[in-house]
Amino acid sequence: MTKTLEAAAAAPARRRRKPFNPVRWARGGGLHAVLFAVPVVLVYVYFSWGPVIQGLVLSFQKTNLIQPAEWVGWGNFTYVLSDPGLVQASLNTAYFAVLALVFGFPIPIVLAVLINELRKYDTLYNALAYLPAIVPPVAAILLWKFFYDPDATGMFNTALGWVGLGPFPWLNAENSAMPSIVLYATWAGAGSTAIIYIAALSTVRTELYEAAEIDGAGIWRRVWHITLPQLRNVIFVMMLLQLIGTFQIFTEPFLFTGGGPNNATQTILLKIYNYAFVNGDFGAATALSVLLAAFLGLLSVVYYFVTKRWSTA
Amino acid sequence: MTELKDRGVVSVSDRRRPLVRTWFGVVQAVLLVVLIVSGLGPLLWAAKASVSPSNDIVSDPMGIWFSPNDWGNLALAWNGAQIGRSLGNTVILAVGSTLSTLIVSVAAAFLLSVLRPKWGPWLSGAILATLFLPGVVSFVPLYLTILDLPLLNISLQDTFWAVWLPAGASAFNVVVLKRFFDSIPREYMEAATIDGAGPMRILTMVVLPLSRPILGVIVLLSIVGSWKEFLWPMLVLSNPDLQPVSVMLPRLATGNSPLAVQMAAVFLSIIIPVVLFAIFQKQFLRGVGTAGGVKG
Amino acid sequence: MMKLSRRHVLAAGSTGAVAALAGTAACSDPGASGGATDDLDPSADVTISVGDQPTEDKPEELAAFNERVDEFEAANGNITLEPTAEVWEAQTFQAKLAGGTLPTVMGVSLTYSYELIENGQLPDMTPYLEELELLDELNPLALDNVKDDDGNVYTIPTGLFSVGIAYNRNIFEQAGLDPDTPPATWDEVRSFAQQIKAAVPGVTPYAQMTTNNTGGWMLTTMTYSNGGRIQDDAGTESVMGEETIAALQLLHDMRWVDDTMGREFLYDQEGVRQAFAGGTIGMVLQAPDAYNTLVRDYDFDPAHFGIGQLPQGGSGNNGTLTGGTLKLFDAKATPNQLLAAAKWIKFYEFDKFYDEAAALADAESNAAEGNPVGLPGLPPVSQEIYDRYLGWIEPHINVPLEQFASYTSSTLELIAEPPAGTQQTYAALDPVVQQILTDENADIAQAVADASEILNGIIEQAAR
Repeated sequence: MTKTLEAAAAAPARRRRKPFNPVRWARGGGLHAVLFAVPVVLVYVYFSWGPVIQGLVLSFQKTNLIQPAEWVGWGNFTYVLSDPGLVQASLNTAYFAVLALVFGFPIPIVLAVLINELRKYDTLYNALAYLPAIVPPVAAILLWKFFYDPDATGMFNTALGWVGLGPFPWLNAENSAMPSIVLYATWAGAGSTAIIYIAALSTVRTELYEAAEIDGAGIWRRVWHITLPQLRNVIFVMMLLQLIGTFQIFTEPFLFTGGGPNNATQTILLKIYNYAFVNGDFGAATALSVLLAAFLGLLSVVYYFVTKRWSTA
Repeated sequence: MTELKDRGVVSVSDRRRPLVRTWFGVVQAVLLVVLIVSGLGPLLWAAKASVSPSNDIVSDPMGIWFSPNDWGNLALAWNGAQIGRSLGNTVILAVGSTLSTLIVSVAAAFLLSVLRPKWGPWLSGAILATLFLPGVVSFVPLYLTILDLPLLNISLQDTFWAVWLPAGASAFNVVVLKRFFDSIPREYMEAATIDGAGPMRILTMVVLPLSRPILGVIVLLSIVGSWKEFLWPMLVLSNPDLQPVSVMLPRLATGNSPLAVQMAAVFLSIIIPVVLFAIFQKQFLRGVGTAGGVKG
Repeated sequence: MMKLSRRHVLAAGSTGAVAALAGTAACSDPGASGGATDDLDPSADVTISVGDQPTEDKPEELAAFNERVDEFEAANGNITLEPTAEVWEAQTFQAKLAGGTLPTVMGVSLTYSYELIENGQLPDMTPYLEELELLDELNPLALDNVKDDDGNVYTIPTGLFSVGIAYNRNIFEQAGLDPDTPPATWDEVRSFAQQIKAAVPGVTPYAQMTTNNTGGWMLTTMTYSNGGRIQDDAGTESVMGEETIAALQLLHDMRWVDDTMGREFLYDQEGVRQAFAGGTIGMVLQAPDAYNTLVRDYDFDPAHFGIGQLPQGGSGNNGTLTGGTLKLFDAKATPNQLLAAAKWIKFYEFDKFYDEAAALADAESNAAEGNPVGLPGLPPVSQEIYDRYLGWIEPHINVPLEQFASYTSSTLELIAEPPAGTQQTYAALDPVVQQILTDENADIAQAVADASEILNGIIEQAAR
C-alpha cells in the first residue's frame, strides 16, 4: 500500500507553466478543487492552524486576556522548565505509556484470539467484552474510584480479602496509584480494541493455518507465525492510536487522583491544564504545550521511519 | 466476511484431541467468569448501590444482603442530573462530531487524492503538520476562538457547534482516508469521467461506495472518541441543558448530592446505553466488525 | 512594581472573637472605571446577568431564588435580571473569566481577591457602593480584604468564615470522650484520635484533606495554628519553617506511629464531607458551613455534629485561617450595569440585615424548607447590625448553637490567606501533605524546603 501511495504522490505530471486562464482553470477542475477546499480550509484555519499559531504567540506573553498582553520573551519557557515537577510529570507520562503498552496492549489481542476460536456463544463473549466500552468513561471512573476504596471494607479489598490478599492502598500510595489507573484504563479499553482485532482475525485466510498444520506446526506456532503477522497492520494502527492517546492522558488522573499522591500521577497534560485553568497562567500553559508538541513531533518522525521499515520489510 | 467459519487457529481435528479439548474448556470457562465479573460486575454493583441508602454504600460496599428501599434515589438522580437529557446530548454531540469529521475529512482526502490541485501538497503538508500536535497546544486559543470567531464575531459558546466544528479538524482521519482513496484503481474514476460524471458524482458514485469499510472505522473511532470527551464540552458547554453525561456526572459528584443519588445517576447513565446496546447488539457488533475488518 | 500593605486589625467578632482580617492592596488601572460615575444614570433601563441560581435538582431553593428575582425586578422597574446557574468552579473559572462568559455578578472564593484586584480583573466598585450607602455598613474588617491603598473597594465580601475542627459527637461518646469538649491543642487531637481508635473500630479517627488544593489550604491553616506563616505579609517570599514542619510531623506520627488517620489520603472537600456524613470520620478540619452541606444535602444527624475552635500548637502569633466569598463583578460591564449589580447584591444578601420583615421572611422560608437558620459565622456587616438581625430571627433559629459553643466562643486571631498566587500556593503544597501521608520515610524538612523553592518560583512568576 505504501508503494501505491508513493506512486500516486508522484503521479501529477509536471505541467509546463502556462499563462493563467480562468476559463481553462475552471474547466480543468480548478473550481471544484476550490469548492472542496473551502470547508476544509475554513475548519482548519479556524479550529486548528489559527489556534496553534495563537498558542505559539501566547507562549511568549504574559496575559490574563483581560489586561493587554505583555511580551516576556523566553520567560514562560524558563519558568516551565525550572519547575521541579516537570521531570516527574514526564517520567509519570512515560511510566503510564510503558505500563499501558506492556499490560494493556497484549490483553485485547489475547482476548480477540481466544474469542475468535469459540464456535459457540461467541456473540455472548463479544457482548460481555464490549460492555465496559459502552459505559460512559466518567461514570466508570466514579465507580472505580469507589471500588478502589483503600479501607479493608473497600470493594476490591474485600474481594481480595476473601483469598487472603491485601488490603491494598490502590490510589493512596505513590507506587500503586499509577498501576491502578492503568488497570482501569485496560479494563475500559480492552473490549473495544479486542472487537477490532476479532474483525481483523476473520480476514486471516484459513488456508494459511491448514498449510501450517500440514507442515506440523502446533497451535502456539500457528498463533505466533501466522495470526500475529497477519494482524500486523491493525496492530500498528492501534499502537499508534494508543501512543497518541497516552500522551494526552488526562481524564483518568484528573478524576481519580488529581495528580496525587505526591504527584505520582501528575501527567504533562494535567500540568498544562493546571497552569491554564487553575492558575490562570496561559503563557506557561502554552509554553509547556509547545514543548510537548515539539517532543511529539520528534517522536512522530521516529515512529514514521521505524514503521516504514517494518511495514515494507 | 465469512459468516460461518469452519476453523481458526485451532482446527476441527485439533478439537477432537482430549488434551486440547480439556484446555479449551478450561480457558473458555475462565474467560467467561472473567468477562462476567469485569463486564457485568460493575453494572450490577451500581444497580445495587442506586437503591441503597448512602450510609450503607459507604459502610458495607460488598454487602450482598441489602434492602432496596431507596427507590427515591433513582428519581432524584433522573431529575437532578437530568440523565435523560444529558445522555441525549451525548448522542447529539457524537453524531454531530462524526458528521463533521466525515464531511471535512472526505472533502480533504478526495481533494488531495483525486482532484490533486497544484496547491494540493501545500494543503496536505499543512494538515499533516497538525497530526501529532496535542490538542492542548491550542486548547486555550481554541477556546478563545469559540468565544469570538475572528472576522465573523459570533460566539459558539453554549452551542453544539463549539464541539462539532473543532472535531472536523482531524488530520489522522484525512491521512487514513487519503491512503484508502489512493488505493482505489484510477480506471474506475476515468471510466466515470468518460461517462460524463463530474467530481461530485465520482465522489458519491465511485469513491464513497468503495470506501464503506474505512468510513466505518472513522465513524466508530469518532463515536468512541466523542463518547469519552470530557474536558472540552465541560469548557464550552456551561449551560446544563446542553451538557453531555460526561460533564454532568462529575458535576454531580463534586456538588452536594448524596452518594446514593450519585450512584443512582451513575447507574442510570450506564444502564440506558447498555440496554440500547443489548437491543441493537447484532447490528452494532457487525458494524464494528466490518469497520475493523479493514486492514489498516 | 507595586506596593502591598497588609494590615492586621483588631475588633470584636460576632461572639467577642478578636478578628484580624488582612487587607490587600494593589495598584490597579484607575482609568478603567475612574470616570465611570460621570455617565451613571440610575434610572436608565439596564439588563444584567446574575449567577448562583440554584439548579433544578433543588426545586425549593430555585423557587425561592426566582421569587427574590421577581421581587427585585418589581422594586426596580428599570432593571432586568437574567439569572444563570453559573457557579464558581475552580476547574473552569480561569478560562471563563478570561473568556468573559461569566455573568455580571456572581460569587467566587475570597481566595482570589488579591490576584483579581492586582490583575485588573475586578472593577472599582467604590462609587456604586457609595451611591447605595452600602460602604459604611459593611464589616470594615472584611472590606479591608478587598481594598487597595487608596481605599478603593473592588467587591463585596460575604459568607465569611474561619476554620475550626468538626467532630462527630456520636463517635466521641462511644470513645468515652466528652462531646462538649473538642480538642483545644494538637496534642489533644492526637490523644483523642488514639482513644477513638482504641474504642471505635472501623472509623477514621482524624481525617485530612489533601487534594484539589485543599491539602495546601489545610496545611496553611495548621501552620497558622502553630504560629507560622506560609508567605510573608507582602507576599514576596515563602516563609515556611518549623511551624509547617511541626504540623507535618504531627500528621506523619498520627499516620505512621499511631495509625489514626484511616486509609484514604486523597480526600477533597466534598469527599471528606461525604465520609463524615457517613459517620466514619471522628475529626476533620472544617468551617461551620460544613453543617449546611452535611445536614441538608447528606442527611447527617444534626445531633452528631460538633465543631470547636481550631486546635492550637503555637504560643504567640498563632490563630486560624479565614476565607469567604467575594462578589465578582464583571470588569467589562457598563457603569449602569455595575450599579444595578450592586443593587441586586444589596437586595439579595444584605436587606435582611436592615429590614426586620425581610429578615423574618428569609428565616421563615428557610426554616420551612428545613434549611439551617442562624448558622454561626463571621458577619458581612458590622457587629451591632448583625446582633440586631440575630435578635429578629431568634425564634426561627434551628441550628443547635450549643454544639458550636467552642467555636463561637473562640478568641483566636483571624489570619488571611497567603497573598501571592494563593491557589497555586495551595496546589504546590498538596503533594507535600500527600507525601507525608503515603511515604513513611519522607524527609519532612526536605519536603518543606523543596516546597519553599517551588513557592518562590510561583511568587516570582505571579509578580512578573
